[in-house]
Amino acid sequence: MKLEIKDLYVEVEDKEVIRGISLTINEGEFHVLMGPNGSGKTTLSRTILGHTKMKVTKGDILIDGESILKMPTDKRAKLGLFLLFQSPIEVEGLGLLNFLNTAKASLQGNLPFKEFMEEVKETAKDLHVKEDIIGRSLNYGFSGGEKKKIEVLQMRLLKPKIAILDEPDSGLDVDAVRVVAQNVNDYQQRTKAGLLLITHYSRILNYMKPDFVHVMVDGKIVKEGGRDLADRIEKEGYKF
Amino acid sequence: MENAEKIVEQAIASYKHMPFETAELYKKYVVNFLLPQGAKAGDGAGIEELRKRITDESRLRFDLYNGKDGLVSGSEFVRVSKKDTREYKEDAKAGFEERLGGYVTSRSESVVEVHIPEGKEAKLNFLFLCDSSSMPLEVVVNAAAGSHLSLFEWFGSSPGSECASMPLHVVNAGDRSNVEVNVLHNEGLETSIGALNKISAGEDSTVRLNGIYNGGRITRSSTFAEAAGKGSNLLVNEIVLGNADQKFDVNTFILNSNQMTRAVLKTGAVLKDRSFCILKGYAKVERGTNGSYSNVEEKGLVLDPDARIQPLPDMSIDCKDVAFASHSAATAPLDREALFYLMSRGVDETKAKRIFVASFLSKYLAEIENDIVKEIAISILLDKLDNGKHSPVPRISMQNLWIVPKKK
Repeated sequence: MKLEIKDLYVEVEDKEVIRGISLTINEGEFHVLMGPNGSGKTTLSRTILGHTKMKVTKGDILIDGESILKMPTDKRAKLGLFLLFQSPIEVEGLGLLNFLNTAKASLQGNLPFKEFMEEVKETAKDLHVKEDIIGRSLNYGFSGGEKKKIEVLQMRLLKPKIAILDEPDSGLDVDAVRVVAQNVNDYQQRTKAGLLLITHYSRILNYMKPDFVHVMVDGKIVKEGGRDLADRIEKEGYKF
Repeated sequence: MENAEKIVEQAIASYKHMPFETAELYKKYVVNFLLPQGAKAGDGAGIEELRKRITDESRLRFDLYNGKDGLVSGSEFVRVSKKDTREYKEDAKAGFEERLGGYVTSRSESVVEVHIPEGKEAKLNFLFLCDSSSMPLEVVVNAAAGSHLSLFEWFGSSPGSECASMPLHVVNAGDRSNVEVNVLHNEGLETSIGALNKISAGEDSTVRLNGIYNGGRITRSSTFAEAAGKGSNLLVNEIVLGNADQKFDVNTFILNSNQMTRAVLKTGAVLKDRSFCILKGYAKVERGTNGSYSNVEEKGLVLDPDARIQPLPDMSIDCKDVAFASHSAATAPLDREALFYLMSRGVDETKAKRIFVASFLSKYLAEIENDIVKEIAISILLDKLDNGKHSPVPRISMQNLWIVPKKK
């Protein structure tokens, strides 16, 4: 699957946040998007998934050459897009298992429950997620680290073709960052999915091997390069 | 704002054929359980005023209607009787309980008495159907010490039946008893509902009243629930689901009147279309009830711009040494962020909304211990949410569900 963002301009509540971004992610490619707070990274990720608050005023987003701008969010997910949320929502009363089962059934059709449970348990084990969490409400009362791990767990279960990971490392301790990074790496290697990882820091990249690094400032991509660009940002900040 | 005002106007207009109701509805916004002038919190005047209002209000309501009893499946613990409604003369000097009890007794033509002897256990299901001419129905529950009762009452009416459904409950839970009363108001959308509940929990007893308000054109309920015995544990759990032009006025008063008691009111309302709901939850922790726990929590979910919920929680704490006392209210529309999250996992918008609402309600449904009631409630509520349909009479096999316990 190929994701193309072409000269994209986006407004949020009448304020222009994205100002002419172009980016292409091909199958198996690993892109990193870095930038200071407020540069528009999260807005871009939500726009790709079709959040109704994000108004595209110019440009296009295409999957395999077809525009998806008019598609509702669930249809975009069905095409194979996935967003790992920076701040996953909490829904008291919605069992995590039920939610995972519903989401998986929506994307892949019904799976025998036993098979589904085995997959959940195995993935949870890989992510060092405690078993009692699986029986609780979706993200309700979870720590920041637990929420992020459950996001990665969802990614692995739902098997997207292109995953946008919005700060999967924020709020995680060193060990958890490593676990999350390893799981994302494993997933990509197995599925050849395209990845767009959004982060402030290069810490998580110590465990990952990105192909491209893009730097976003004030709604625009101002610099592009390889892994060394992330190291430079770590040392010098976002002054270009 | 324009919409909200319009809804209030419509609500008031809908009461016009009953003039006193207009004033009652209006009072909901301005009186709000205020203490009488000059009274101070803790001097007992507030509770007297409240008690007077409950009595007066119920008088106004039930004097209006004629009535008929329902169909009841009985058991060794249940007695149904007819009675002369003219017997009672109110003694103005009598205490609240006597006056209320006398009032209830006098206005009811049919009485269902549930008596669970000491140490016995019973699971009872009642189906009450009302038609075009209904008198109040009195349900008296007396659970003796150490008994265990799970009661389920389904109130229904024939579709298109413009009748009144008026159950009056008096529940006395003996010491160490465990009582669950589940009342499902699922009358037709042309039926008016007036419900009065009075509950008293004995020492170390556990009592829960689960009120599910689904049916009815206009529903008004007044509940007075007292954690009376030392160490008693009382929960009033209310679920409101409204659509079309349904109106609900749910008044509930919980009272801690002894030490180490726990009294909790949880109300969850979900409203669609142009429905309208007032939730008045009032808690009082009396002086000297050390170590007590009291909590009022009212939450609402508004699914359409013309639907409206008015939560009015209130609390009076007259004890200096409570374990916990709190009251809160929150209403909100569907969370767009939550919908986006669910949809980003491939769930379509309709299903995502349903999941979200079901999750909201599940917190209240989880409080129902009787699994049959829980299942029925979930099925009815979700059917209404999904299809806008209302099933005033049970669509399930009565033979399998309405079981009269075998004699032991």
